Amino acid sequence: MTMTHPEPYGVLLISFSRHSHQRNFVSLYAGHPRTHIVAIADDDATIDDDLRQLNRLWAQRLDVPYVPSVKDALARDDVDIVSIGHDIERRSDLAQQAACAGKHLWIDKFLGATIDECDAVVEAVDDAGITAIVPSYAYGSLLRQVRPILESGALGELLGCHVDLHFAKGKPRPVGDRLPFLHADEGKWKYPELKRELLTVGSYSVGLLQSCLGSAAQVHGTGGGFFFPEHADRGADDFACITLVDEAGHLGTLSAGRVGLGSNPAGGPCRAWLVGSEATAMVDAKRPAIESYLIEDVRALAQPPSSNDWMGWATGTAALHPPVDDDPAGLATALDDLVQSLDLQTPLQYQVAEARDNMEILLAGYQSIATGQEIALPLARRKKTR
Amino acid sequence: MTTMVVVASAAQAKHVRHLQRVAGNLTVVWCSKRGKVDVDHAASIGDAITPGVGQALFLAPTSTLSADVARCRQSGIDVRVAGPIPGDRDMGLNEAAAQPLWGEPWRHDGQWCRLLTARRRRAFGVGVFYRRVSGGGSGGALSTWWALWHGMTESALTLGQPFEQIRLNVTRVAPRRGWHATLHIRSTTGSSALVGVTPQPDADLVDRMLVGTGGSLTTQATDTGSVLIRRDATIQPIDSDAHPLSAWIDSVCQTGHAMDPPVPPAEGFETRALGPDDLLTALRRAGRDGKTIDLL
Repeated sequence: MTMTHPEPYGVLLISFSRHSHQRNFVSLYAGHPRTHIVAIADDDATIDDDLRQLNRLWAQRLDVPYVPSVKDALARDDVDIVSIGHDIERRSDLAQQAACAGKHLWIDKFLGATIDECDAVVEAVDDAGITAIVPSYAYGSLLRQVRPILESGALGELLGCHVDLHFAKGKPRPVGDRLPFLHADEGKWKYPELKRELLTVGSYSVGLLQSCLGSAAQVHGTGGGFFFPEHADRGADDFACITLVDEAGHLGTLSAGRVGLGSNPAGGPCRAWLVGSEATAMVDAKRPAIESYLIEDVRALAQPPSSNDWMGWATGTAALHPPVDDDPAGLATALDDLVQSLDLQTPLQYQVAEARDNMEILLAGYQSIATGQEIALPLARRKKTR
Repeated sequence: MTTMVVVASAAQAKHVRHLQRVAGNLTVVWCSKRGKVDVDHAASIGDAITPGVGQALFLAPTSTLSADVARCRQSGIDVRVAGPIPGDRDMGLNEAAAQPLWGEPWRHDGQWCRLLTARRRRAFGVGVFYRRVSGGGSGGALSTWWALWHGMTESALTLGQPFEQIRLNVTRVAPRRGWHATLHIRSTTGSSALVGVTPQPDADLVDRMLVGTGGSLTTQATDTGSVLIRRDATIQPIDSDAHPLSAWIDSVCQTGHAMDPPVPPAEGFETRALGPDDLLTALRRAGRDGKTIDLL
């Protein structure tokens, strides 16, 4: 096998939105022998001053140019990969622009804010023939632990998969009156004080269900139990559960949400049951771990979260049972897969169409919780797709 | 000394051995396959009922359970069952008895009892989510039914909130084996419970996680504290003696009560609205059709 691109791939970082993981990707691109960061870009005219400053700060820190126009940045010859870490509402448009410019894509979690926006990205990627990776769902330690069990055949026929993945972040406080569950059809996923957590956290669990089960046919969900008054006051989920039935009738369930700082020694449970005809496996992605009871860390769990990051979006305390895995989120593994795919023209483990399906399952879950009905997939589209 | 008749599955052989130690004379009626225990056995309850039989203990459900229970009672035999009896609502077996005929071994699970104690601390706050995964689906519809019923009643008592929605899903390898079922429950306060029954035999080995606004409480069935590392490098947890079914058997033998300790009945749903027979009917339909069924 020969590489068609002997030089390292140039990476353009599009935005450092506070609600993205772009800051986590920087060290990966900088440390990988086949990638290097060439510039940071955003459409300055469309973003707020805080984000403009933050983007420039990162450019200074990385000693790369800041380009205040995405169109101009995409015209650069030294850009091979575009890393999209913008707000969810901007991602679809940016991904389509980059794909049209012939750039490969690294997309943080969600292709867009609605199913139509996600469809548009899948179409643009197909049309452009570029490679696009969504690194968040198929490469983490849970999946890496599950795959060999599935491949071993020890479970017999897999009949179900059940996942609990929670973030032990934020400070729960008494909840007063709560509004009816807020529907999510308009694609509004974040507010100044909160994010919709079934989408934010549940997408990881859906990634596992997708890997274990067939295409989702039916979805039903429950929500409306709250940890945080911010969420209860809007009827927006901080926690929710979904049951999924695939086309063969196999069952998946998940619970997902933000459950409070200090409620779990590993920063939140991340475990799954793989239910087979011959055996059931319980997989804990936070194991193996060390048990670390440093008094300062224990005390920190009792302190209120940072006042400018109340929900722990960007900050956190040390886990008492930190997992041994060096790449728990799987981002380094994902970058290796992307580079290998570009170098050797091999398929990625997780395609953008699967990322679109991931969001479709969650949207069905939202519809079910809001209406109390079971929802059949695929969901209806506002816009006709090809 | 009277003889006890025990109805058990092969996977419950260790509980039969336990009964040999605590109860003495036994005759076992094995459900389908015979367990690996050196003990007298009979092909059916009819064959097992002989002069001198004073008690009958049903550790696993069979297709003839309600008829067998009725027959035992007509013969003056004291009967206890480790789960609900099919058709009981119509036959009134339980109501006619001086003591409840059937009980719930999970109430004797040391891990659950400790979890409930912690859950009752003010620091726990309000329960928001309960996950319960157990075996129980190996024997088909009836064993799955018992495990689901136990999971549902345990969830109700653990969350301590009335249920307003319960959805049932089932998939199975074959009509008489390999059932996998889930209950997805919503309480009136928005809390959720997910109850899973796997096709493995032991319905009383349970993984649990209860998450509240003040923290989380977790138990794991495999966490017995003892591990065997073999010469061939395989690692195996060693079974704990403190098994809920053994504890229930001990309680029945000592007190005669199937529903002991007398903790309050499940608060989460009105059993007149959803009784064991309703669940069994729905389970059979879900197993046949593969459709989601609304129980409440």
